[in-house]
Amino acid sequence: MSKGRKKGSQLQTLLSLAAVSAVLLPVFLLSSPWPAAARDYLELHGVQETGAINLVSAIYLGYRAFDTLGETIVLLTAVSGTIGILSRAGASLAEGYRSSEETLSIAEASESESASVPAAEPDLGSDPGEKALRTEETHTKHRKHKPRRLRTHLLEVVTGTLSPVVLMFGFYVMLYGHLSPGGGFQGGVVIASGIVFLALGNRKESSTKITQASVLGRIEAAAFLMLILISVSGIIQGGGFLDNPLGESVILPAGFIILLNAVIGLKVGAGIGFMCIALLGKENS
Amino acid sequence: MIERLLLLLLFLTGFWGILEKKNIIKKIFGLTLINSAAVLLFVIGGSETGKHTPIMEKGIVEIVDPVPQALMLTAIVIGVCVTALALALAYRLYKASGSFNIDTIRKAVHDMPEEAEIKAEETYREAAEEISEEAEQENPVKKPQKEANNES
Amino acid sequence: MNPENFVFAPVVLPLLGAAVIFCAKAFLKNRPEKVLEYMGVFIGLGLPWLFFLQSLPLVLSGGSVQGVVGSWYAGVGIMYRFDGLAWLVNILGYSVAGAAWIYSLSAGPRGPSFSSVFLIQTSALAAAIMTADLFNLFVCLEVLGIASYVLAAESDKPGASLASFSYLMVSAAAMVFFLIGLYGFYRLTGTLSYEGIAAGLQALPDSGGPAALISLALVTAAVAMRVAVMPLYGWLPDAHAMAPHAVSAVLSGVLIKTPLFALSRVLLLMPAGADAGRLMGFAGAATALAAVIIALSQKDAKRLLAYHSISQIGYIVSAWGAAMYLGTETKEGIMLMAAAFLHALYHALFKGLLFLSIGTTVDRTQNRNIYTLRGAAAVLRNTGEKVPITLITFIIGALAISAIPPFNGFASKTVLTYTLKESPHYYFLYAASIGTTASFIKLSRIFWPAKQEKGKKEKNAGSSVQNPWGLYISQSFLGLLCIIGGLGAPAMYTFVIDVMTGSGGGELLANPGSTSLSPVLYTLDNLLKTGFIAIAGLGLFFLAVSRRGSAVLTKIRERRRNFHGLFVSFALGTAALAAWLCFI
Repeated sequence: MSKGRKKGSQLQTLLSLAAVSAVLLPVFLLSSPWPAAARDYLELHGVQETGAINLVSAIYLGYRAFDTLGETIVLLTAVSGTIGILSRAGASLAEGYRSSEETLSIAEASESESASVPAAEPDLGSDPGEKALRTEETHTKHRKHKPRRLRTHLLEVVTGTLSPVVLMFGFYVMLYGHLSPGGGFQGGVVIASGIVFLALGNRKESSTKITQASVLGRIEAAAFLMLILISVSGIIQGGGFLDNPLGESVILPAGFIILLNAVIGLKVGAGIGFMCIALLGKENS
Repeated sequence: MIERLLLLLLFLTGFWGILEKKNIIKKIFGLTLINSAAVLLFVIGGSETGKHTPIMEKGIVEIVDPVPQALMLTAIVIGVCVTALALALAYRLYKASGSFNIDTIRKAVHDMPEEAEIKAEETYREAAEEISEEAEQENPVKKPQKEANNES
Repeated sequence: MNPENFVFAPVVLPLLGAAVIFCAKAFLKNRPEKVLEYMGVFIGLGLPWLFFLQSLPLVLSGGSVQGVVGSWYAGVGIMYRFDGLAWLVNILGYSVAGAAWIYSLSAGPRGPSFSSVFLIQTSALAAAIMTADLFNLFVCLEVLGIASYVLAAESDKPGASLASFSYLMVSAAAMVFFLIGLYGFYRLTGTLSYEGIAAGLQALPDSGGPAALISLALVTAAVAMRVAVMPLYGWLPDAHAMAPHAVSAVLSGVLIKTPLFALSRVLLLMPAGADAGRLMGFAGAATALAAVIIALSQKDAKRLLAYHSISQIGYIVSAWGAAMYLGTETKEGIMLMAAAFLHALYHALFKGLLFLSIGTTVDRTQNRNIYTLRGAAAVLRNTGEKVPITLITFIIGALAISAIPPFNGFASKTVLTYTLKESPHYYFLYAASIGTTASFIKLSRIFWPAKQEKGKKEKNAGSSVQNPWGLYISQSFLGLLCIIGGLGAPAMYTFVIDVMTGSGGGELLANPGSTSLSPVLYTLDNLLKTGFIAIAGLGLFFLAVSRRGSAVLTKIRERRRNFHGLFVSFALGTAALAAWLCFI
């Protein structure tokens, strides 16, 4: 790039930064008092109307549950899109996370075969994210790397021991979302990390099904179907979309929110877990 | 007031990063920064009204406005999803061009003559098929794995 | 069974379909999976039509369904409104999406992942036009966005990834601006529903002052970016040209218009909305002309079509902006709005058709360069197309977009320019029509017989598609709609006005002194103008292929476009809109 062009582009940057700050400054510095109407209403009626003590959950899954549905769909699309793009880019996605010798032997076998191919790939060993996603095929060169052992005994022991605790905590955050900070999304993400822990701490003889991508995919799909069915179930009761089908329950006033939390938690946990497991790839084994 | 000025600064930093940084990963960082600035703006604004967290246990009054918090929860998750997708695309672009630099990528992607591009794709695909066939012959266990890749 | 309970059918049914497809993918294999996938698509794209039929009497009588999702307190909950406009935009979306999905069965991309994301996108379209809550609009636009980034990157080419990446970055950044505008509105008024914000602003002294105007500018600019009006169009050509053909059809036909009509709900309520609409109208007229000049310079067939999408959206935006300025209570305003919608609908049909037929052609001939590709008709015939459906449908589409009677493009463009007669937009649009004709003459050269020396290459080129019936069905369906739409345009126009306004619109038109459409359409004056445009287009074409002309066009084509520019133009465009609102 020539020098003049670079200068021009810097000038453009400065100009646009100036424009952006001139536009945004009045909005950022708005000094009018924060409107309190919605807060006052929620303070008075929120708990009574939704049954949830945590008002953020009350809005998130009660008053504005439709937004949350949209957000779940964004997540779903992002997960399936990310996996699609990565697999199209030639990343090797794992079906399940196992420290198997089979994959090792494949890689070794094909390495010896393709050893004649000159190694011209730029080295990016310093980038850990890249290392994790390093695949056996590049666009033009087909060279297999010898798998790196990123796992250590320390990691195995710690994650294996912690995983039940993390999972338990995830379920707690998910199911108590109406009472304390937390909810389906947050709990789901903790559950997903529990699943990743389980996978990392998993010795090869004691594999569980929950760390297999196909099982997680099934949980995710079923939870999504359930979420849609729940959201329309109000119609059967004569109400509208996303109406509470459970009615006013005396014993469990927050029943609908708990139900939504649980379903969303499962969906998010399975979805993010699925993505992480797939991205771990077989390289790290 | 000062915190909101700082947020504007954060926003401008992010926007500058998107504009001026050549590395696409840094551009994605910039996107995350401006997103955080907007999220913080909402949450800080909502906290001006009260003192306590909006969890209505007994005796709690003067809560902060819970609406911006709930809204921002949605905005954060959406931001994360967009970032994940952007990183996946960045990875794919890196695979195709061997660089994270936006100019190099553009050159590699666009200046590739059409026919050469198709040809490269074809050879790539053939070679990939060959390799996977070999792998299958050697080890049948790998087969379900490959199917999972295709499905996803 | 009253329609009130089912207004969310166009949103929920595609989601249900997507969920069924996800389950099919996770639990089943092979044949049952396929069966369930098709069933999911049928649920998502077929069943909503029942609802549209059922709700037709409601919208025709001017009725609308509005309320709060989940019947919560309106101050916090999400307001929605299903009315004539929502009905019309849904019809637009579902007809093109259905045809495009059928096309994708033959030409790809196939598979459950694609189908489910496609359904999610359709659902988000329906939700975006129905919502009356600004934050919910944000969520809907994000769903729409993320689905289209994924779909645009569905192609195998790395160029598609770059296009998708640029699109993602600029539109995600724009959505942050949207969020900040939302903050301004919420801080000033304390509500998120359109009506609540409008009422709150009116109650404030000076309607909220510059902060309110800037918030409106931020929201409008973010949506305008999605609509790809000048100067915010830079992401579109790559994204639309690189995507798979079926996706291109939906992106160009539907996706860029829905946000525009969703935005009209906001602008019509806001105090300063009229001014914002006015500026967008001017930008639209400029877009129509500028994009067509760039289109004329392209060598990639699909990129040429993508630039035409920008140009045509310019037509729509200029009428739409004028309608925003006048307000939909006035007769002129409603006529402009109806004209904008009619052109949006017809453009969706003929541009969808063009993308599909050109897509088929470039797939078969494996060449997208319109300077080298010749004799495409022969290749199509060689690859098993006995009846030249692709050729015929391409000709229909090209004639429609060049506004030749009796195809639908002629009707909608005539209506549009007629309603804009007294404004300066008219001259821009007129000039743009000439450019459109010229560039489609240029594009149709690919079907001209090849010269002798290229005959050899032809035999090697050309790959036939298995199972091409999907191509033919979808292309003929859209082609037929183009012709019917053209012939039945006067009735269609009246129908659009009726649906948009309820019975009121019909009365407006029936009033003495008002003009109904049919006498306007085929007047000698208009036909002469069309003839002039065709001849001028031919002249421009020869100018463009002359040595000097092509040198100029090459310069235009090779102008510097980069990632940086997308953001600079977005920032400056937003600032210009804000300044316009504050100082005019």
